[in-house]
Amino acid sequence: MRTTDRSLQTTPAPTAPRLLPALGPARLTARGQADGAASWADHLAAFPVDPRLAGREVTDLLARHAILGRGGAGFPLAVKMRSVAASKGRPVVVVNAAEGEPAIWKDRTLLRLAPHLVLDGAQLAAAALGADQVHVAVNPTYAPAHDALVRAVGERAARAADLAPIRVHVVPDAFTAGEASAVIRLIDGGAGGRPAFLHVVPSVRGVARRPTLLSNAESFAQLALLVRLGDAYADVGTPDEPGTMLFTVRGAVPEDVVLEAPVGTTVWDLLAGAGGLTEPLQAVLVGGYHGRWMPADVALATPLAVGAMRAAGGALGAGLVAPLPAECCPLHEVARVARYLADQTAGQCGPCVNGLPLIAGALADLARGEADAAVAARIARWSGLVAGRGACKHPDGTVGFVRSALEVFAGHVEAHLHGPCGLPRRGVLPVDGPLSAVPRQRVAADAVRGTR
Amino acid sequence: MTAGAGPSEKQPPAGSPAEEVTIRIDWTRCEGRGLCAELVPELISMDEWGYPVVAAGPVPPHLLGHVKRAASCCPVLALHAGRRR
Repeated sequence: MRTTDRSLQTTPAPTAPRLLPALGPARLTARGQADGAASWADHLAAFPVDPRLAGREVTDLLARHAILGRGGAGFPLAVKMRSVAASKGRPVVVVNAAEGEPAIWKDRTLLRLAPHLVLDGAQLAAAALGADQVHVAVNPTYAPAHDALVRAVGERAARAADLAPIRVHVVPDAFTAGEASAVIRLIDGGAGGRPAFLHVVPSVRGVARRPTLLSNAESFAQLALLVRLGDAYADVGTPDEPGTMLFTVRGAVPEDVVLEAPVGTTVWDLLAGAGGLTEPLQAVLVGGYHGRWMPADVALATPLAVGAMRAAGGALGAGLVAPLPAECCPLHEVARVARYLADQTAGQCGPCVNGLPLIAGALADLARGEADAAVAARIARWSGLVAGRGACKHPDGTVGFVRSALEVFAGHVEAHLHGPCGLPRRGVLPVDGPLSAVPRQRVAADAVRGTR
Repeated sequence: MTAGAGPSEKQPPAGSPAEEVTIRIDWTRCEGRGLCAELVPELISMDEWGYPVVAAGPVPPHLLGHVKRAASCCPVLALHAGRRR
């Protein structure tokens, strides 16, 4: 079962960050450096407990060991599930593997390696909630992940392994296409890939106006691990945030990598595990393009956990850790990403459509050393006008990124008022490249039904 | 960037009156026609692009009627006044 879109085969494959051995126990990445996705047999060999477990265990275990959503918001899965269970109507489960952010590759890596683990988690959640449908929204631009998912769904359907049939939906490769409301709209057959205004949260009313448990692909894989490991799940991680997490590391490291590490690992230890620093740092971007810049010394000492990052002024987000070399113009990096984020507006909400390009333009002027002294005040004003004023969190996330940059790079901002800084303009953070060369797809290319 | 979009998942803080009404804008519909800012200037102003800026917090009871009228007069039905969910 392959995607029918020929364009995927003629476009150069995006270079996927390499998967490195885990720091601590390899759970999500238990199959290590294996080529290709786990077949059903491989999966059972790597995760020897049959996944068809009672839903009741899920609720009990989640009450003891929190799983915070791995898609960026870090919202407790148990709270979402309680909200779904308390709402009227037959629930639906949605696995979000849209991962439209070019810097982050952890969901694509996970799907390539262990699609059945993700699907096990979705089925366990469905059993716990009495859901009768599982939907998976996947970004198709990295064929090994998409194909592994489709094959896994087919294997499960052939074996009648699941109570809830699984459907795969191909999402456009756009930054905002992974927003919860955009995914729900896509599944409902509406204008795919663009966020929508929601009157209530998806856990109350989502797909087909039914209570919808929508969470990130890794969150569901974590749920499957929790049920398999029981209380041993909390052998690693922090007391409040047990378990492991997938991180994408790029920047001042030998190569772009994905690696699994216990929650609470410090940025320093993660970078050591990623091969160590290749050059001196000036700052670290943590979380993603909706994340936060942190001063290098603060970031390196901070544990990678939702609470610890928040307390240190950062954001764990979806697990990007990008150490920025000292020998490059940080404002050039910030301006490039801000331009990319402005271009990624879904084009629906006035403040985002108007405000993000202005912010990006001002940052570009500043990076070139051509801005006047009032530039920071203008960016601050526009930031205040876009935050909280969109159907989705794209404006808010972008503003968080920009504000943290202006704070952490305040010295550079000041210096750039008198001209360019002379540091190389390197473009460390990916903003387009092969991914954006892939034509956007607007319709679900694959719809695979399970039995029953 | 996925979860957590849209309305808050959090419950209103304990003790907040259940009948509190807040204004929400459907930004995907809003075209900046400006009627709302004319009808409820106490709570709604316009930004530099012509889109409504809504004062934070619940609608004071004495303005409820005005807000409901603004919601029904919005030519693109982008203004919503309702209880927190």
